[in-house]
Amino acid sequence: MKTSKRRRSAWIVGGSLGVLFLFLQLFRPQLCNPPVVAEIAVPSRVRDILRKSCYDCHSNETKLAWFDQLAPASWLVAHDVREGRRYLNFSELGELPAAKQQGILFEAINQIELGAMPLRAYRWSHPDKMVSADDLATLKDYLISTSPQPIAGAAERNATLDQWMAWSHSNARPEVSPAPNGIPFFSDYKTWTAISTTDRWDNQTMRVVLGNAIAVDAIRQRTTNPWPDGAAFAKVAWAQDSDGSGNVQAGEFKQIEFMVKGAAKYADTNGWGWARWLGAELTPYGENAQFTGECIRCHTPVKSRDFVFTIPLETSR
Amino acid sequence: MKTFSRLTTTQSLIFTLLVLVGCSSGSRRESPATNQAAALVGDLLENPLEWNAITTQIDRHRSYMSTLYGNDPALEHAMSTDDAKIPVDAKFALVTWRQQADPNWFGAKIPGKVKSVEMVYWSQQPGAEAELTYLQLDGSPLRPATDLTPSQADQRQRYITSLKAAVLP
Ligand code: HEC
Ligand code: HEC
Repeated sequence: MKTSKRRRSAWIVGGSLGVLFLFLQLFRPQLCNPPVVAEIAVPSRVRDILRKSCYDCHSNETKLAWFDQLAPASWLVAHDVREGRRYLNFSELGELPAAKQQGILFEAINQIELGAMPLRAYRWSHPDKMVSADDLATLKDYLISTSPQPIAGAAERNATLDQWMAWSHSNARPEVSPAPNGIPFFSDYKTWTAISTTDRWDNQTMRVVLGNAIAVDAIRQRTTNPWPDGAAFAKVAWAQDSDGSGNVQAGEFKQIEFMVKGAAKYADTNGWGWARWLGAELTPYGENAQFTGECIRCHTPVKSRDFVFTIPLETSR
Repeated sequence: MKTFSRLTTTQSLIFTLLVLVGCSSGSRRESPATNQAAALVGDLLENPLEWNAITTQIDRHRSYMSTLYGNDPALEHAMSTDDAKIPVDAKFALVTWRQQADPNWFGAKIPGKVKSVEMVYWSQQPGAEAELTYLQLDGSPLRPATDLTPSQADQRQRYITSLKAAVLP
């Protein structure tokens, strides 16, 4: 007796869920494939990998599996495709300058290598679209073989010298406007400690990362994950001036970027305040406060390191 | 009834397994908290890493990267013209590392093992005038270089004190 009653209620619950499921299918998200404008310019062995693993969300050639088209999964998928296309669309990159396309590919490969892309749920539900170790090696080899090591010509050397003369003669800093998100320039950053240098051969710059006293103290005490409130980093980028025989010097100053920790204060931007100033004139970067999205998306693969890439030197002994 | 509950247990087990597999596939080898490989250890009397970073350079052929550190008078000197005298309390240190690939960014190299630390500073024997001195320490742990001729030392000292500061607005 009891079992048959239970069986009946199971049928009712199951049946209503079924009806609900069918009803949900009436709400199909709008997802179409606009025309391909200018596909990224890469050899086919590279493009095939991107096509397989990334194009579903980062191109105008989305090909959804049947189970991606069932609600409620289809709504999540549509959201991912829309967001994915908005930030990176391989069908529209082809018109950008070659160096810009190359930079985007470096970011893409790092997102793969650090396990951030393709999105985890997608990897899980589409195991056939994973980026294999061989694929990754192909992508890396391509980028290594196409990264130029330009030699600084007279024009670059003169630009470096002009900038140096102007700076060393009058070390007074011009009036610096705050970043579009309201973060003011860190006028004391030169007193901070250099915690690492990087040779960015992907975009021919060299960088020094500086940490303020709170950051340096956290390194000494090994309390860097998460970093304490008030810890701040500056990253300075210069062009690489190469003499053609393998010797590279810091050239023209390009930009300076900052991250300042404030778990509550900057909760909206992953616990950090982000800011960048360009050129020796220190022009604030970004049209509005949304520029931080760009910083955060690229720093997300090191989320497990509290969004900090740099592996600091032990500056105090 | 029994079969039903066994089914749900197996199902939830499978589900949990799937979730675990799905989650762990996102994790990766952890990069170290600090760069211990590049630490300066050995016969150093002072810690140049606490001084100003004046400029930085790369030796592509040998895969070295160097940063010139210096105290405030040394930085001032690196911002002055070629004919400027070296201030009496200036201290310079050119620290050279072998490069290693940055585990957090394909496209970058960061300091690996220390190759050498070259110090330039004023030293004074009792009753004599202060003299600009060059000291080279090699290896990890750092030990004073033994096979250095006076002319090599003189050449390195001139080179290090001739380096210009990288622009830092
Ligand atoms: C299931 C959809 C999906 C797939 C497949 C996918 N991505 Fe993404 N990707 C996204 C979404 C959504 C974002 C937006 C930011 C976020 O959520 O992290 C994004 C952001 C990015 C960004 C950051 C762009 C920026 O503006 O900084 C890069 C780079 C990237 N993806 C690379 C890749 C690469 C390379 C692949 C293939 C190996 C890939 N993605 C596959 C959905 C996807
Ligand atoms: C294309 C990827 C990318 C973008 C976009 C990006 N960063 Fe970074 N950032 C890096 C990498 C890689 C490093 C590690 C140092 C290096 O190799 O140059 C780094 C390091 C830093 C550091 C030093 C602390 C650390 O995390 O190592 C600061 C500060 C910083 N970035 C600020 C910013 C700000 C502010 C923005 C946005 C305006 C930004 N970054 C955008 C890739 C990026």
